[in-house]
Amino acid sequence: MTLTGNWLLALLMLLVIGAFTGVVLLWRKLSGRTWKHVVGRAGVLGGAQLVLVLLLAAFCNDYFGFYSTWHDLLGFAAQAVNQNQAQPLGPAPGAGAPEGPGGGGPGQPHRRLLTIRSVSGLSLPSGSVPDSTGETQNVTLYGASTGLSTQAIVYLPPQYFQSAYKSYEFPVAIVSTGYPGDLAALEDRLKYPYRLLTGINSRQDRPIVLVMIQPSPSSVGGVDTECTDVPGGPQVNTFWAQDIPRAVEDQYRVTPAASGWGVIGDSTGGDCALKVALMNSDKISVAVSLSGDYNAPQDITTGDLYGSPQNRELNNIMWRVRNLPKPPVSVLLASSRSGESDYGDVLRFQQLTAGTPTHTSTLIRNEGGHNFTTWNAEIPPAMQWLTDTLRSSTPLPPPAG
Amino acid sequence: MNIVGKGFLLLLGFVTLASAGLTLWLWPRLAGRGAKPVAGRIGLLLGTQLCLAATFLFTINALGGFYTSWAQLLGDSSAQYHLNNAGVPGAAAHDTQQLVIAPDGRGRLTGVRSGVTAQLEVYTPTDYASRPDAAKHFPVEIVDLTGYTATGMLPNYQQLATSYHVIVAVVTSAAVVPGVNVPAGTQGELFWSQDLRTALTSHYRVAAYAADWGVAGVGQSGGAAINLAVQDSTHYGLAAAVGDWTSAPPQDSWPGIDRYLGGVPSPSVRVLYNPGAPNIPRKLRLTGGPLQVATQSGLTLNSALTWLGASIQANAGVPA
Repeated sequence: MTLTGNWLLALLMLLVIGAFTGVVLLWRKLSGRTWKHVVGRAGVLGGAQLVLVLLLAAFCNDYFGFYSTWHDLLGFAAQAVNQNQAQPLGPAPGAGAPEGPGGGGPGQPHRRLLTIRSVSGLSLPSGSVPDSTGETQNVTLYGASTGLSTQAIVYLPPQYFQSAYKSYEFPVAIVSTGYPGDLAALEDRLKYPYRLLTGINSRQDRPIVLVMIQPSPSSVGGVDTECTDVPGGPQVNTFWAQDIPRAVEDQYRVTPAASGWGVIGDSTGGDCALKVALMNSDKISVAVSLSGDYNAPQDITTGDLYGSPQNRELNNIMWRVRNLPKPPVSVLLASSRSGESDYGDVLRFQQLTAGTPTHTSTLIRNEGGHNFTTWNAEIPPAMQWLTDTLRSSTPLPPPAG
Repeated sequence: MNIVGKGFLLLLGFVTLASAGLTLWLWPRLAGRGAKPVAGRIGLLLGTQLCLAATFLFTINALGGFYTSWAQLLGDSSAQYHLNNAGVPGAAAHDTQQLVIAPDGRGRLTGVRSGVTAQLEVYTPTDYASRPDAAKHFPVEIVDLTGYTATGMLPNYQQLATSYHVIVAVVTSAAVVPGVNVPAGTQGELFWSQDLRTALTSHYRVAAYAADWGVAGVGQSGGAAINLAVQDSTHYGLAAAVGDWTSAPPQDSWPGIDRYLGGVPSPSVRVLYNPGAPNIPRKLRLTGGPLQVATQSGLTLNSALTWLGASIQANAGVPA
């Protein structure tokens, strides 16, 4: 039985009703004054309360899109994408002719850094045709340098399939959930592909490719890595900044230029977007952080990611903008005047980067919270800003019609 | 009452406990037969469960900071926003500006990301500008002489550039620039992998793949070179270390080559080093696998650069 969806909810709801009925029916038998009866009452009441809590927990998990599978919840790495499968990347560059996508000599095995598991369109009432509504692909990305791998959903906009754009190299945005976060929520709840399509059709957004992921690669399992290169552990920062672009560039017609690579995410996905861009501005030059954290979080879901207090500082966004040169990136920071804890950090970040190569834009709501309602309201203007700030290295064809 | 306030949550918790207690206490009185006691049971139990549900949901909400006002929860909060746009496409103009270089190839790099400053001498092959090679992107050999005072005969960099069809960039500065981002120290990886690479890329026709970028150094800068190729194989594919290259303090290799290699697959890089240095990382003493290790006793800068040139040329144009 899957963790999300109506089956589990229905089962738990039946249990709640059953327990409720059971208590009412057993009531008379437990109405005595002996201690056994009193313990029995507390037991049946407690049992009924427990199944109710389970139902509510499952409901909250669905509603906020935390964990999509039992694997995610219980913290196992996804078995289908363990490192052994990411490994068969061909021989070493020893013999003087290393293998590689498009390179290497004849007969060299091709490194597959991305496999497409299934292809579908957007679920629109009008139906879905690639060259008018685009295409979504469920893929697995393999990290050539880190050995990590992750599930992802790629959205190719309709222009990708149009002949006018056949030599256009599309900009790319990596789109991330928070932690914990359900990958499908990016498509179903936050509707990134649909909003991009709507924005393109209304001429507010430029066409870009979306690569939707969770902040911690699937092969890492249930740890909030905060996109950190963990000393002696998974190199998640490098996975985001080097391995994902390489795998995507290998498979799709996208620009290799840093000016054409951006990241956007909510919550932990926002921390990651900002941190990865600040630390890897030679590859990723645009970042959008919706309700992100600015201070290298460390809690029960992260464990010790940093190895030393000094290395934690290097992963602390606010420490970086206070103590290091500001790298050439454009960032958009979203928060709310009331209801969000990061508003002060957003203002400080903006102030500390004023007049530096880091260009800080802000998207400030009067009121908001750490929830889908807030992000759903922020994503359309954020996507407009993002697609307008990303630049391909090839010229954008004039829009048709 | 504040939806995420302690007072509100404590009140809910108290009411929940009280209702459970009340249920247990009133239990015997509702044990009778007939519609009234049964209705009483159902009502009491329902009340208890509703209290628990409210406590659970509002506590989760407060912990996650999801809905922080009643207006947001009920959907009538203000949706107004203000976008202050300072977005600039092509922030990478800084990549060009950080390097000021004269036509004779001598210049100064002020790393926009690392803040590290160094002098550069760039040698291009003699046919760099000629028609047959005018579109070619050349591999790069970095000669890391930071923190090193050269003695004796220096290699003929121009000849090296021409014979191996590489661009040679000699980097000098008073202090050694490590090959990693040292916590609470010099951001060496930002300098070598990002500032230097983007600066050269925006001024010269250089190749893009890591397999086309090699780095060699002497003493501590040799250690920096090895760290770059091993710990940042996405930017440098080859490294050579001359002399006492393991003499730098441990934090200049943070988190340490052996520790780093414990968390990643063996990188596809080639390194050459002087085996006479003490404290060579255990995982660099092994050979075989994607990480190719070669050693040469009494390795000189000249022979290191020759090895780099020959190895890079064999790699040329190959993604790694």
